[in-house]
Amino acid sequence: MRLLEEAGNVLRKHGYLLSFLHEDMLQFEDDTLLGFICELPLKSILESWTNRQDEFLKRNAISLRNSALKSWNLYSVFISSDVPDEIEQREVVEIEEDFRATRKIVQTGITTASEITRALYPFIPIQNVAAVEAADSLRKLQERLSGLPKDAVTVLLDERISEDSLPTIFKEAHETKTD
Amino acid sequence: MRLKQIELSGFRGFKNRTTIPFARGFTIITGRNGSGKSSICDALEYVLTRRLSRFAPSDVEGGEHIDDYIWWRNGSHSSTREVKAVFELDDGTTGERSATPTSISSTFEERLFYDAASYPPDPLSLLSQTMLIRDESIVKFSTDLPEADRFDFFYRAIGLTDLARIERRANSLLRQLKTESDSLEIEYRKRREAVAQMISEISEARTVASQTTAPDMAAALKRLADLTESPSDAPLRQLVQKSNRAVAEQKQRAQALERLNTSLSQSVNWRQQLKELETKRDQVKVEVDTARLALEKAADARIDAANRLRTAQARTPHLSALAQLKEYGSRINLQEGRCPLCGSLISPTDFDAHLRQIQSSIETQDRVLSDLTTEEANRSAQYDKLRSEFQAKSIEHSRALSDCETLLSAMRQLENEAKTLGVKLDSRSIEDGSQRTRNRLAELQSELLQLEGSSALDRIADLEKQRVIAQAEAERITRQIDLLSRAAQDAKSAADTTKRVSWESVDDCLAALSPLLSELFLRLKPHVDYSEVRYHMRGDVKRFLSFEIGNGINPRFIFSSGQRRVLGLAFLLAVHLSRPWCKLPTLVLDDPVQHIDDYRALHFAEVLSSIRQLGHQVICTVQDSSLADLLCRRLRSADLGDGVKIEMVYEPGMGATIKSMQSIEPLPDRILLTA
Repeated sequence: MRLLEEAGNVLRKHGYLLSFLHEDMLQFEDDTLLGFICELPLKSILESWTNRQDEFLKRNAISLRNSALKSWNLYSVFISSDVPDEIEQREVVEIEEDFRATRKIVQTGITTASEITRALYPFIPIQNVAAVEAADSLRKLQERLSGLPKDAVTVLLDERISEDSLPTIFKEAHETKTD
Repeated sequence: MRLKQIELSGFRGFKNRTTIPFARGFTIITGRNGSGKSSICDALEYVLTRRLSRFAPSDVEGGEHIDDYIWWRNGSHSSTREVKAVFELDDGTTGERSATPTSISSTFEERLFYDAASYPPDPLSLLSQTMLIRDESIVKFSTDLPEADRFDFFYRAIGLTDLARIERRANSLLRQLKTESDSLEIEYRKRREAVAQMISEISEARTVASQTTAPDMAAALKRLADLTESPSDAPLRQLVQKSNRAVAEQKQRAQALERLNTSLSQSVNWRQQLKELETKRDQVKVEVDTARLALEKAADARIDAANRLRTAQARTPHLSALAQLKEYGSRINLQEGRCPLCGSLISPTDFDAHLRQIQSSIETQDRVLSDLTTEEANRSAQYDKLRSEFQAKSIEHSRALSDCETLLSAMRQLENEAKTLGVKLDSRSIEDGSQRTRNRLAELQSELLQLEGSSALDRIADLEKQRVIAQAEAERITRQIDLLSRAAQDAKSAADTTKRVSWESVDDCLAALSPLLSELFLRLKPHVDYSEVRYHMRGDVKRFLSFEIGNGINPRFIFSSGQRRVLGLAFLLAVHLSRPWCKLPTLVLDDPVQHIDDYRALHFAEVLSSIRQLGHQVICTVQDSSLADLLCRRLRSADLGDGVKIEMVYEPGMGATIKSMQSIEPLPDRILLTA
C-alpha cells in the first residue's frame, strides 16, 4: 500500500482538494486548512524535513503572503512506515514541537489504512462517535425480573411507594401471587 | 436546536443587563480573571436547572452557601435579577427560557431539549452536566478523582440513576425484610421453647396424676360420666364442663322444688276461699237476675206511659186551634145574630152556651194530657233508678267471677309447676323430689370436687390449653417466616439482578464509548510515549473506574497535572459526544486549557475543529487572548457557520461587561488549489 495515495484518499473523502507535487509529496487544501504530506523513510524525514517545508513555502510564497490569515493554518505532514528507535522518537517529538512556519505532524510506523486515518485525525471530523444508550436498561431489568411475582416487581419499581411501606406491600404481593 | 444568546441581569458577576450572543458555528469568549466568563457558563447551567453544580451542597463557609451568591451582591443592588437564554429551535423559530430567584419559565416545551421517546432521568440536569465542561469537572474527572467517584460520575452521566435507585430500594427492602424475619425467628424460637416446656410439664403432671390419684380419679370420672349420661371415654375437659352444667341445673331444680313446697303450704286455704267466692258469686248472680227483671218491667211501664201520652197528644191536635177559635168568638161576639165563626143564625144565649161548652172541652182535654205527662216522667225516673241498681250488681258479679278465676289460675299454675318438676302436688311427693335432687347434687359436687381437687389434672388441662395456643402461634409464625423468606429471596434476587443489569449497562456503555475515548486520547496526545488508553472496572460491592495506558500503567502516577487534565477532558468530550437523546448539540467549555502547554493546546484546537465538523455548536472561554486567536483561526469555516469572538472585562462597581465583539468571517476560499 502506498501510504501517500491512501492519505490522499482519506483527505479527498473529507472534501479536501489535492495535487501531487512529487511522487512522494502532495499538497492539500480546504476552506480552512492547507499544507502538504510527504511519505519518506524515517531517516529522510529527520534529515530533510526542513528542506521539504522550505520547498513548499517557496513554491507557494505569493499565495501564502496574499492570504496571511489562512497561512496560520498551514500543515507539514510527514508519514513513514519505519518504526523509530528511542533517539529517533525524541527527534520526531522535537520536529512536532517546532512551531516555526508550519504546524508539523510526523507519523511513523504506519502500515495500515486505519493508521493513515489516525495520522490524519487533525484534518477530519471525529470518527468514532458513539451512541451510549442506557434507556433500555429498565426494560432489560423488567425482563430479567420476570421470574418474580408480577405484583412484587411492580411495587418494587413504583417509586411512589415509600421505602418504609415497601416491605408490607411487597409481602402482600407474595401472598396474592398472580403469576 | 442552537443556543442563540443569553441575557444576564444581576446574575453572579453581571450587575447590569448584558446580552451575550452566540454564533451558530462557534463563540470564543476571552478575558482576564473575574471578567465574567465563568458567570456566562453558570448562567447557562442555572437557566436549565436553577442550580450551580460546581459548588457542592455541603460547600458552606461561615454559614453561607453558593445560593447566597448566585445573584449580584457587590455593593449597590441590581434593578433586576434574571437569566434568559434564547434558543433557535429546529423549526426556525426562537424560544426563551428564563430563571429568576424564584422561578423558571419557558416559551417552549422542555421536551424539545431531548428525544421524547428515549431520555434519561432528570434530563435537563444531565444535559447541563454533559454540555458544560468546566475546569472543575476536568479536574474532578482527571485521574485526580478517586476511582469510585469517577465511576459514579460516569454512571450518572449516562443516565443509569434509575437502576441505582431501584437497586437501593431492593437492598433497603431486603434489609427490612431480614430484620423482620430475624425478629420473627426469635419469636418463633421462644414459642417453640414454650411448647417444648409445656409438653415436658404435661408429661410430668400425667405421671404424678397416675401415681397418686389414679383409682379415685377413675371412679370419679366413671361416676360423672354416668351422672351426666356422657360416654365413658369423653375428654376430661368436656366431662367437667358437662358436670358443672348438671350441678347448676340440679341447684335450680332444688330451688324450684323449695318454692313449690312453700306455695303449696300457702295454698291450703285456697279451696275454702274459692268456695266462699263461688257462693258470693252465685248470690250476686241471683241479685243481678232480679234486678234485670225489675228493670225490664220498668222499661215496659215507661214505654206504655210514653205510648199513651203520644196517643192522647195525637187525639187532640186541634186543641190550641179550638182555644184560639173560642178566643176569636168571645172577642168578636155575634154579628147581626149570626155566629162570627160559621155565619149561622144563633141566639146570644146559645152562642154563649157554645162558647162555655168549648171552654169546658178544652180544659177537660188539657187535664188528661197533663196527667199522662206526669205519669210518663215518673215511669222514666223509675227506670233510671233500676238501671243503676242493675249495673252496680253486674259489676259486683264480674268482680266475683274474676276473684274466682284468679284463684283457680294460681291453683293451675301450681299444678303445672309440680308437673314440670315431676312431682305430685302434695308435700310428700315434693319432699321426695327435693331429697332426690339434693342427693344427686351432692353426688355431682362430690365427684367434681374430687376431680377439681386434683391439681395435677387441673394443671394438665391448663397446660394442654396453653400448648395448643402456643403451637398454633408457632405455626402462624412459621407461615410468616416462610412468606418473608420468599419475599427476601425475591428482594435479593431483584437487587442482584438490578446490580448485574446496571453493571452490564455500564460495561456496554463504556465498551461503546471506548473507541471514541481512544480517538480523543490519540488526538489530544497527553503523552508522547503513550497513544492508547483503556478503561477498567472492578469491585463487587462498590465499583471503580480506572484508566490504563501502555501495559498496565496507571496514568495517575505517570502523567503530570496538565496531562491528567487532558485525559479528563478526553473522557468528558467522549461522554458529551455520546448522547443520542440530546437535541441541543452545543458544547460549552469553560477555560479548559489551564495548565496545558502550547503543544497540547494546539491539539485541543484541532479536536474542537473536528467536533465542529460534526455540526456541533462550540462555545469556549479562554483566558489567554493568543489562544483565543488560535481557536478563532482554527475553527473558522465557510461551511460550518459563522463565529464570534467576545472580549469580556470587569469594570469596578459595574461588574462584568462586553469590551469588544468581533465577527469571525470564513477564511478566503482556496489559495493553492482550485477544484
